[in-house]
Amino acid sequence: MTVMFGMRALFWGGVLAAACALSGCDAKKTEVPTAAAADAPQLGVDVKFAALWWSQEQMEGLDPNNPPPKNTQVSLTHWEYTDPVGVPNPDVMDVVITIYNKGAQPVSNLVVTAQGEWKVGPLADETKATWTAPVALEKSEPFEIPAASKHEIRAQVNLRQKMDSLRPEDQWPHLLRISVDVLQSGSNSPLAKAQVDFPINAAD
Amino acid sequence: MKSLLGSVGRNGVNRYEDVLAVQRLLNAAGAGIDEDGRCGPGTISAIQAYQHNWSQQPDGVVDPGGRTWSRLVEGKLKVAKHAAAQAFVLLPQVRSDGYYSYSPVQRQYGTPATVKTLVSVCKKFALKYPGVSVAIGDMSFTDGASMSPHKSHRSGRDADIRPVRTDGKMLPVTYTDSNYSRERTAALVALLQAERNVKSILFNDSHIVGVKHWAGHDNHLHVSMKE
Repeated sequence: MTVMFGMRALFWGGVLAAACALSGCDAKKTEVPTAAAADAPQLGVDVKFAALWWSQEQMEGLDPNNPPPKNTQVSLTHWEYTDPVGVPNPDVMDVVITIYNKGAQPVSNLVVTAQGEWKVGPLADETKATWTAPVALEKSEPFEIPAASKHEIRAQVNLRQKMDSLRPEDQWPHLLRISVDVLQSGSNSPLAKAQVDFPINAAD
Repeated sequence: MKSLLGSVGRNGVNRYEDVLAVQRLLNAAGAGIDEDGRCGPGTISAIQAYQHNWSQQPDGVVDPGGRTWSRLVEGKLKVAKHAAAQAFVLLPQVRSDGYYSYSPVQRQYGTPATVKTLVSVCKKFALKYPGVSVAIGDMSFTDGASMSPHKSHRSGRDADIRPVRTDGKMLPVTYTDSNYSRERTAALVALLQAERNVKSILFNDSHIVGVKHWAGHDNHLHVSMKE
């Protein structure tokens, strides 16, 4: 399980089952694994954020009126605008979803769904922010993960577009919450899921 | 200018939007308070101070359509006219005279006094540290329009400035970095503080005297001017 700074991640499914087996859960509260449960896919899911930004070499003496193309992939834990060159504040970012198959068998016919929720409020006062309705970000085509392998899916989020749409009302998207489910195609019960918050910090 | 929907101030209704509107008008009148939509002691004191200009009994309340509200709105119009008459000017876009810009040109406008102060400080800094440039970032747009994602930077009296590096490179730096020069940054702060026009400096290096610590100010000084 990967937990990044500034984020919360929750994982269920095979990971929890494995943890329970290792730690010896209370027998009264634990169902005896059935043959089906024992054979359940051992999947994990990890959500991170990434964007293209300037390299350190490009930043030196960067001409802000004629900036070079951003072509260095950087990981993000949050968005901020404290130094518009030195600290990534991209217009568009990728939500990087990695699904791990920790089992000894391949798992096929998997589908990933991702949705985003924005916490929107006055630019000057995050405490007044409220959650808006979830928006679908991604629904993958069915795929297979070989044993002890991983599969990566990327969904793009246009932060600038969201900020621009809120600006006329002096509003700001203070937080983006990404929820990911990994399902067997045709099923509604997730085999693994994750929820991660991405803070978007306005500036003074 | 929209009218208030409820009273603002001591024992007022204090709706968020109303408080924000009053705070903005008070700041247009020179109050220098936080525009956070919350009616705390600072806002009430600012209302009273404003009322004290023309009333013997300031009550610290702005009522919808009341005398304080009307005066604030009229005052704002006067300020707007004054601002139009005294338009923001562009920080000269040079890479000499002791400074360089790290924000696009359209984000580097300020009041004439602010620009004059910045240029003056940078020239003095260059005399003290030849070959080392001060990095100036966001100021204001030419018309004082909202500068997303900033909450401020609309008055032409704000400027973001990078701390000074030890190696003289035109790169960002945080006060915890090994390339951060406390000595040079302290000298820059001292030059700013010596200027009559400088009102406050936000920066988080606790070893530098006279700066105010504020979240998000590890890698830049937010300098606010009086005029």
